[in-house]
Amino acid sequence: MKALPRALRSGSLLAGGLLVAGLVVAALAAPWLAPYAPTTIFAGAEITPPGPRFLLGTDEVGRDILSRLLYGARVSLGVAFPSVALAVLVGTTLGVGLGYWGGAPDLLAMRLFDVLFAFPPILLAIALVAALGPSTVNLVLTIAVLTLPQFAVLARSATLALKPQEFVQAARALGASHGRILGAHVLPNVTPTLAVQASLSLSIVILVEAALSFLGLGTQPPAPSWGSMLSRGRQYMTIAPWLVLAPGLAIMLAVLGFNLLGDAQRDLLDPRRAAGGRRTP
Amino acid sequence: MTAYIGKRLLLLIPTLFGVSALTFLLIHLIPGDLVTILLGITASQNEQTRQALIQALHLDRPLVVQYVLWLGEVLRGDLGHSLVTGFSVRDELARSYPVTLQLALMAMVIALAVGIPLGVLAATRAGRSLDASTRVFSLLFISAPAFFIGTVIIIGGARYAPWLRTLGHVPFTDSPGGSLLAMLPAAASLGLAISAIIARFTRSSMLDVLGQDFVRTARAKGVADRTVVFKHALRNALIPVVAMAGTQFVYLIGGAVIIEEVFALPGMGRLVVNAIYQRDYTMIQGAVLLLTSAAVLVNLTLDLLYHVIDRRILYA
Amino acid sequence: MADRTDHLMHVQHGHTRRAFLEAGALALVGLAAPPLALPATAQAPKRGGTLVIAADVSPPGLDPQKSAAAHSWMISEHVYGNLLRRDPKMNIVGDLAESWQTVNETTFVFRLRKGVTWHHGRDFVAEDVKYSFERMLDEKTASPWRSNWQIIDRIETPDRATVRFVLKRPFAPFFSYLATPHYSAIVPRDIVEKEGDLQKTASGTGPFMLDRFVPDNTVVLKRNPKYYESGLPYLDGMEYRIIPDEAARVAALRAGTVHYFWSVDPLIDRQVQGASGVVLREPDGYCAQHGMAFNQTKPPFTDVRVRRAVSVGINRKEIIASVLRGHGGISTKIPPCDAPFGYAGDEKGLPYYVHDPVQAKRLLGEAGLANGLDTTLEISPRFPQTIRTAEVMKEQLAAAGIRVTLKQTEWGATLKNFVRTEYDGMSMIPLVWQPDPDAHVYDIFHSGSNINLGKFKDAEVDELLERGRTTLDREKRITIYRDLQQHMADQAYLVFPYASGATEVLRDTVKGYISIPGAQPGSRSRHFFKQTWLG
Repeated sequence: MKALPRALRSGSLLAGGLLVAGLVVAALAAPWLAPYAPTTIFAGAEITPPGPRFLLGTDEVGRDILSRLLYGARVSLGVAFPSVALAVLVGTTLGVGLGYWGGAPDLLAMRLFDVLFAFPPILLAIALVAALGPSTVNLVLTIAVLTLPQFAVLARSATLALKPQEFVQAARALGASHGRILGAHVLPNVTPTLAVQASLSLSIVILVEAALSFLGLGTQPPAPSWGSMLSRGRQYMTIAPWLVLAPGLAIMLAVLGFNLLGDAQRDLLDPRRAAGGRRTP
Repeated sequence: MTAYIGKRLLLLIPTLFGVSALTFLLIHLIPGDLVTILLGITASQNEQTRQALIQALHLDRPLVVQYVLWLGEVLRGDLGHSLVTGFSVRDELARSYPVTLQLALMAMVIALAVGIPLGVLAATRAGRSLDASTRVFSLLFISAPAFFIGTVIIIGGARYAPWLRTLGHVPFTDSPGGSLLAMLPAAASLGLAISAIIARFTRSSMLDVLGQDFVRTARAKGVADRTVVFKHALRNALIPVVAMAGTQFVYLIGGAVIIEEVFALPGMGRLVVNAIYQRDYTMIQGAVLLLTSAAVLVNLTLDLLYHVIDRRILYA
Repeated sequence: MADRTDHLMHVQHGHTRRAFLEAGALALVGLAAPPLALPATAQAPKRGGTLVIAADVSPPGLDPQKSAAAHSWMISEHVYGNLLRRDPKMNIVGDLAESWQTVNETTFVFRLRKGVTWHHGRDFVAEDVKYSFERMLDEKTASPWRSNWQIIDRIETPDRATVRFVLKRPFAPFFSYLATPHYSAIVPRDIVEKEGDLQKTASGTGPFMLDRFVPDNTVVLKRNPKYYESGLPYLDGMEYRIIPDEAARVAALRAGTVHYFWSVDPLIDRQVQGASGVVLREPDGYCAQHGMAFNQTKPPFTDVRVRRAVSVGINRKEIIASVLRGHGGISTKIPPCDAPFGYAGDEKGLPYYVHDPVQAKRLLGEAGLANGLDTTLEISPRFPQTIRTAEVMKEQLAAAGIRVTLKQTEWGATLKNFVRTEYDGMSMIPLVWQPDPDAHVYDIFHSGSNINLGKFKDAEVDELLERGRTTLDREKRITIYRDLQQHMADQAYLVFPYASGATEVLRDTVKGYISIPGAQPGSRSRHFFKQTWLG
């Protein structure tokens, strides 16, 4: 709790928190905030500049950009949160289990992770999406599969570091069950590192979705996705910069927000850096 | 040390096995009929033509048999031929991998050359305006998708510097200078994005080191400030940066598909993606084998480099 | 926006040019195209320079007899010659054949042009023609065109400059096929035997020779100094640069590093807005189509009334206006650019083409679906135009009581399911232009074919298909295909929302250029680059 006043003073946490909160609000309140539906086509109004009727202009098909931006927040978060959550859940469980019990499964799993890490991630993503078919659920699964090894390895090394420590040995000697040890001792110590990683992963996933959208494998049309808006808008960039500025800025702010949150968490965890970087004279 | 290298190299074999088997399974899971794609709608319905092609490509055998056949060829040094074009897989890889490698190297050089100095500067001027502007620069380039930066460069180049060649590839063997220049815009797009990550990381690593006891001790002894910063702190701070840069490099040699697409570079990224779309099984298998070996070898080299930089690090 | 400058003027030699065997009358003599003459007022062609074309996809090989990929033909049509070609008005004229004669319904004799040499030096002879067709017929080649030529009974070469084809039965598309560059490219046996195939090397008789092929990067062609059309080509060479990203292609054209590319973006005019020295060309006829098929192996689409309901439920004019921004036309399976075989009128001339949601509901009611219908439409996101067309159709059909769920699958899967009718409900994909009306319809409509789209059986359709294929008289053939298309529309076996085309984008320094309908990317054939110059 004594972290709280320090937290409030942290610019990163505040800024990051605000940005992410804004994102979440936009996503949740999109149906009320958006002036139009994201897929409604206004025939003849393609690529109109921002104006009273369309606050951020329209795209190349004739759809309102502001509405698509707001609903796009749903799409981005709708992919980012579930996939990272899944990755954290499955990855942590796996990693803690492997670190705690070790043995043959651990050796096998580490080889498997070696294999996964050696495989170029973007190609794995493409192959998985191609194999599973283009849908949001499959996209979430694919990204989760790509991200979980990091969490597993992180959780595993953290667990391995904790295992020989006194308080764990003591608990075992006292007859505490594995479950209790894991729940009361291991997990709480592992969580902060994971939280930092999760924030950073969220920011990366937003970019991964944009990258996959560029290749036509992300969120499928006509669903609004910042990545596909940016990708399609590039072609008209010279005559209609708002087509790329709006989604580009949205992506930037989202990534910024998650990064700042991750930074702030890391700063809070590390007592040496609590003051945000002021150095000795 | 030799034993360590030997052990790691030996581990390469089961890893490659695992990867190739996994890939084989994965790509055959992708629905879609290779024969229809190859022959087009009309011709693929002609039973004789279909069967002739299927037999030529061994597609009628069970999956395991196909895999074993392929494995046999590989062990004899033959990576086979593309199912789509008939070109030798080895030739295609030899043509496209150097492009990817060149892009990866150039991007890393730019990333390190820009990122490390920026990170060091930001750390030594921590809390002041340079630090803030570096952070803004970093966050800007981290969050802008590479295809966007790339397109801005291409369109800007076309408008303001039409003499600058931004698209396509000039092979290094044709003209080294021309090749580097032609790839510069693409490498810059990638390199700047990575430099942002490197800068952030260098900054935080430097800050960590500068706060440590031995630094204060050195200062107390009256050694000039500059020397303290650069000689001791930097060397220690660079260790994790090297590790991070290494990870980025491994990612890059996997082929930066999007940059290759946007800048029309005939590299591995595009090769493999097209192979996946076209269900070119032999090409995919060969490419994945190459990419995985490269990744593992680079990782090994980086680990050794890491060790050289800091002799206190033990082998895991 | 259409630039219809036509630099050609045919010199009449006193014979009617109309007398052709594109399923024409019997016993007529065909003539090769006379040398091109330009109107006196036009600019004189300049020699030299390399035309740079930006292509979106790399050719997966250059062998026209082995590759079914349109991007291969965009190269092979400049390198290889054919017995026959099409002129800018789509009439069939001679290329390697100087003249020809119909002996009877199944026997045709071609006299070959003299003085033609291969790029690798030796003379072109009749034996080369025989070899080319035999290679396609050989199972080992696994040529996609094998089934096209199985109609050939034998090929004879009585002398070095004469080839005689004997067919098994009368076959109306024969001459169209001979005039289709990728179906009938004449290839050299000695090079094939030396290299194994022509995927990476090329030697032909065409106006350009292959200089360099770097997959995924570039294809460089250079001028054939021994080309038999004297004076041509004007260019020193051509380069097809592979630039996958359209934004990059546009930037390159604007900067002038590229001279030509094609685009299917209906907003291409906006992409090049404000750029100087850029010319846009609309196709003079729409050749590319989207086709929507029904799974007719099970209800509800076994009922013709339900299919008709879908046909009147969509509003083709609105789709063309909103998806294509007007760059499209009403179409049946044979597109308007193939008129008079293709239907080129408006929607009132075909049954169940006029938009009428009330009629749709009534038809559904008659079929026992008074509460409307729930069904799926399978499409692939590979072609954004397909998605947009499907979205608009979905909205339109909803007003007619047909609730469509769009199902997106990866292209390989979509294609396979479409061809084998393994989808639920409906499926739609873009279709490729074909060089003959028979090629457009026979394989996909005949009940005996494995790739009958939708798996329907109609004896009347079969009969019309057979007659269309064997009737050599052109006027009679036009009538047969007209009846076929009317019947197909009446039965609504397939639904065609429109025919569209690609816009060509050029630098204004590109002169003397004509493109004609073809099966290439952008549905054009560009072999008239041989008479193009940079000025």
